[in-house]
Amino acid sequence: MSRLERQAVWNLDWILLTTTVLIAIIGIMSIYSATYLTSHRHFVERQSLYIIIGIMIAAGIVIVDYRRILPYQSLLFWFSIGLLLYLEIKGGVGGKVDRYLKIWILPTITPSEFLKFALILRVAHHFRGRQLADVKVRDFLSPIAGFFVGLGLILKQPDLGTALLLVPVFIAQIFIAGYDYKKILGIIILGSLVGFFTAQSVLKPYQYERLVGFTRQGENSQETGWQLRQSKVAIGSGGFWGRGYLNGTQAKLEFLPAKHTDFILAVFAEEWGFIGIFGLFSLYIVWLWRGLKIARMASGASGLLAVTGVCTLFALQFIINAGMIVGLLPITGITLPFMSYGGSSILTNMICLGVVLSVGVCRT
Amino acid sequence: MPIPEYGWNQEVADLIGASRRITGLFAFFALSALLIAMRFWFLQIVNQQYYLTLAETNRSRLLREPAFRGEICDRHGRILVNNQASYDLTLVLEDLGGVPLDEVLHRLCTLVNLDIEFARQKIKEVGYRVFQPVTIKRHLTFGELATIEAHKHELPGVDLSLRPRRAYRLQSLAANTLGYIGAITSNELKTLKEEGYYFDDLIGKMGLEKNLDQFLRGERGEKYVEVNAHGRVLKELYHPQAHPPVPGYRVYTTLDMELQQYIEGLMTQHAGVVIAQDPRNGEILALVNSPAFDPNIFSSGGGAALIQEISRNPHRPLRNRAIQDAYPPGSMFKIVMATAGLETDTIKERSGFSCSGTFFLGSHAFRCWKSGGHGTVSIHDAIRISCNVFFYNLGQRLGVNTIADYAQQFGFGRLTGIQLPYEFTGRVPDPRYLEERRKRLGFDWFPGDTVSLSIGQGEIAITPLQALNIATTIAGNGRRYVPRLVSKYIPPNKGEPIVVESTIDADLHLKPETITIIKKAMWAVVNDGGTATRVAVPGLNIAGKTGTAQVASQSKRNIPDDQLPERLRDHAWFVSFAPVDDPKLALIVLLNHGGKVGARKKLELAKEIYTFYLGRVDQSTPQLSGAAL
Repeated sequence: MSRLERQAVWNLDWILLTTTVLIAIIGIMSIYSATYLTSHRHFVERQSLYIIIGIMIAAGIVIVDYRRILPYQSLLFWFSIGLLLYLEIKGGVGGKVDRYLKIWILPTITPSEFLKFALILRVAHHFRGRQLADVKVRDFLSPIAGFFVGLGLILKQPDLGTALLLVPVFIAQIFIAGYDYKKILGIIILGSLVGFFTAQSVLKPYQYERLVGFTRQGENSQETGWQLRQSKVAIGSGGFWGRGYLNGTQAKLEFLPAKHTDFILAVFAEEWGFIGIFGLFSLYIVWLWRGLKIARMASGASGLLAVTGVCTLFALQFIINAGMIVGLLPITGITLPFMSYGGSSILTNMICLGVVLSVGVCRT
Repeated sequence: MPIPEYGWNQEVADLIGASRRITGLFAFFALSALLIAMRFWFLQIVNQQYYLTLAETNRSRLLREPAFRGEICDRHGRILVNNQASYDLTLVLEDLGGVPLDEVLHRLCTLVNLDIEFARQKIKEVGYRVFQPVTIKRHLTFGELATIEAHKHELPGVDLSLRPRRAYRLQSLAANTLGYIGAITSNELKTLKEEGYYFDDLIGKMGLEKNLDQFLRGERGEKYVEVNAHGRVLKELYHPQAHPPVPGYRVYTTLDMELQQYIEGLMTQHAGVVIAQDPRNGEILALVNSPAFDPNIFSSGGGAALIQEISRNPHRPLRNRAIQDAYPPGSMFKIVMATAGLETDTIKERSGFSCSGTFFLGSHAFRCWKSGGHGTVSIHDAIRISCNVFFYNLGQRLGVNTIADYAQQFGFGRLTGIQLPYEFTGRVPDPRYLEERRKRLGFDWFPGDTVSLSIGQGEIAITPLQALNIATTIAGNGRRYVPRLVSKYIPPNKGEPIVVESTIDADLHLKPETITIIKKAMWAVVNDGGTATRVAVPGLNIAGKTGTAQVASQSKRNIPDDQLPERLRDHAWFVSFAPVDDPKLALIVLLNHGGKVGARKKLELAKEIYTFYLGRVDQSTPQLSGAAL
């Protein structure tokens, strides 16, 4: 066994890995509960396959070392951009949002999932070997350019949720990179104000409806209001102990929309109750804690920024997804990391995990 | 393999405070997670019961199953009205799944012929019952059924339900008597809610369907089912209140289908009313309104245009004119006058009045129909040849109050009590009416008014069913029965049949001489050179009396019928019974705007009815309960 391999086994964050696997298993169980009546084991089998492939890729990244992979970030970036362009020209599969792409016999893929990851790596790679003491805007003009290209294409879909997710991840990375936080705060406030006053004219009606509509939860005449109500009914009826595994009715009887993807947490909350939610939240907090711990010990700026980017992305996805199913945030198509059904989502999540683990293995 | 080295050390990282910033990020995320966890607490623990109830209402649904409406048969159990399988279009508001209602309705409109106003009205009545299917269109055609099936995925909340549809097997046969059904209106619902009616129900609107609704409608079933979000029923759930629907009672009417059909056949060319009754028990054997309508149009899709067309018909086929419209009885009233005169001993069999063709009251002249006069006539001849002057004289002796009293004894001016809705009382100049009339007109009843009344014109009006009382009262020797349409009700589930007994409407306790005189005279009307000799059938011994209800004003009375517009021609009456010594059938024939002379010829259809019925007879016993089973 070579020195590197021994180091890898020793330094590998087993807690992080275990947490991930636990969350993924909970996800598979919930997907089964939500879909077995209508689709038998189809979704469960697919999801398990994605997770296994994803973990294998993650292991590959740990073995190869993330620092050898980072230079290829532009390949991934332009690949994602290419897919998004192709999607823009050809048109996607169903839905109001052109989010899904079907090529040849491959499973449906979601290019924006890959782009999220590519942008994180792009920023991280840009700052490789740099001293982060006093970062100026001109220091990261290139990642800003890439960021806006990607953002523009995703807004064109128009996938408002993903676009709004990219911005804070990017800001968080710049924040960690050492850019003056007062200026960052200023940019956030300015951006919010501009967004607030231009939202109605710039956004498509249904998007605006979603943004403001979630405040009118009592009404069931609107699509999102109806989805939200069903989601709250599912969560609320779970109570403290839950209705028991496979005993939930909301998801099984198809009252819950997107039950195995965006609303998987509601399925879980119905059957496992508040106690289950408490446990699952703990798992995500542990994941974040371990992730950020690795960031602190990173052996270089690129590792630090890659891991903080990934952690921010997952934390935000978790918060937005959980927030939307309980009616605190507008309903957008944001998946729950490691739990929501979806090949692109799970694969990207696992690749991210691989990078984080690899940074941990190569720590100083 | 060399790992690329970056110019980096831990000190620099510490220096720039990356660690502190990371802690800041973690704190921000952890706080957000805590906030969301609190929200979960609020939903799952504070409000658990509320959402649990919602989840249950989501999943379980009370489904109302319509009962099979009872069948209606004729006296021998031949089916007149029953139910057929049919598909209705229903909508469950809760299953719209966020799609606006208007959009779904518009999509439906492009697919099928939908009365969108009716649908909107019904949906408005849904109120809080958002889980309940509401019927927005009934009785889809096969084409519509296929179209809806094919587009069902675009129509959230829309469903097809198999329901019984009312079928009037013989189309327009006895349509006004049987009636029809329709969707309950919000006004009807207001008064009937207490009796268990429901906003999506069908209810009888006319005829027996309306009056016997309580018997016919049966009891709606209720079952609890588990449904998915698309409203598809997955399985039935246990519920203590669940119960299957109970069909309505089967109603045996007193109608004789063959007789009804036969008379309707005779009446196709005429507008009018014919009622055939068994004078021995009051059973209505046939009740014909002509022109009629087909009640099936009310339960078929796209009937609106047909209904419009029917309601524009000047003869108003939707009205049951046998009970809803009243006309002056004309000379038929002479039977009532004769009864009054004989019973009050105002006249005797041998007393006579001289008819010179004109009767003078003061300076005012009232004419007999025969301008030369009849000479001295007895009561027998006065009825036989329908002498007006005789009855003018009799009327003056009796006075308006006695005449009105006897008119009431014959059942005029009040409801006959038949089980049909919207019956009209008609009008009799009784003291109360006279009082009311004085107040309205400001002057008194004149003796001249009594003169007109004596021959059944002027201020008296009776419905054809009341007119039939003239025959049944005399045929029954003064005793007559309430006209009756139902012979028995057969409960569902093999219960004991409820047999309807005949009830006596009135017994006038007439003197035997009175009955003999009038029967003889009425026999002579048909068989001994009277006014209806055309109707005579050897051996049947029909007794009757003709009458003319005046329509046009006095000034136009001398214009021949063929120069008068149809709506101004007189109505022709013929009331009769046979055989005279053992009456088995009483008949009233009214030919609307039949005219003065032509009508006499048309009244021959009475002869055909008697020949048909009495020729075939003796299969109909007075108490039919045994025969019908």
